[in-house]
Amino acid sequence: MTVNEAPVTGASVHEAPLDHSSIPPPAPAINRTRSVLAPLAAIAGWLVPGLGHLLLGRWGRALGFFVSVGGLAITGYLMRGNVFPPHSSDPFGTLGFLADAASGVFYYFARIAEAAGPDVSRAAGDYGTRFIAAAGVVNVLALFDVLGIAARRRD
Amino acid sequence: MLASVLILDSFKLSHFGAMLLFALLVSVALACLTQRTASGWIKYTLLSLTLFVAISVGVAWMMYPISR
Repeated sequence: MTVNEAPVTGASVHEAPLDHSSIPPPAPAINRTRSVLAPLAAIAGWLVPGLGHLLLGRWGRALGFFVSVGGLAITGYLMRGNVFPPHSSDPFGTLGFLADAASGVFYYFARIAEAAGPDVSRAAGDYGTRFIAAAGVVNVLALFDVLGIAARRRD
Repeated sequence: MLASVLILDSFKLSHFGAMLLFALLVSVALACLTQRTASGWIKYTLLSLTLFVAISVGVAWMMYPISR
């Protein structure tokens, strides 16, 4: 600032009010579409890991989550880890089912991939159980990320 | 079904190999969650993988006297 320039005072700011007519009004139709897209993307992301991000245009994250969740689940099946059934008598079995089922389509893929059934008598089978559960937990994190991205877009 | 059983029987991973694969896949997921750029993903994946392996080996050595 040079010496000849007048300092900006509070009064001069009030003399020049903002022109609100230049700001476009929010489009309710777009907001409605985006609020529908958020749960739709979350459900799609649960069914097929990464699909929620794909619907929101996040290709890189979609690929990363699909590879991560799919890799963990398939490795778990190949190691003959335990896949928890929907109806379990104990709470740990229910928690295991929730973790396993969170991997979406890979949970139903287990019937084909693990036709011989689990074998947790070996350490590899026990590790496989953790791989399968971790796949579901990672997909839950991905779902929260999808909801976060959709919420930021809506705002 | 026979092919599935053959694949399962031929799939062998050592404990270290299983830990390495788990660390890699989880690191990729964490990098996707926290980073926005491709270079950030690679850096975070490598850092997370290194920490996973280093801490696992460290904990394994700490448990070594117990196993004897």
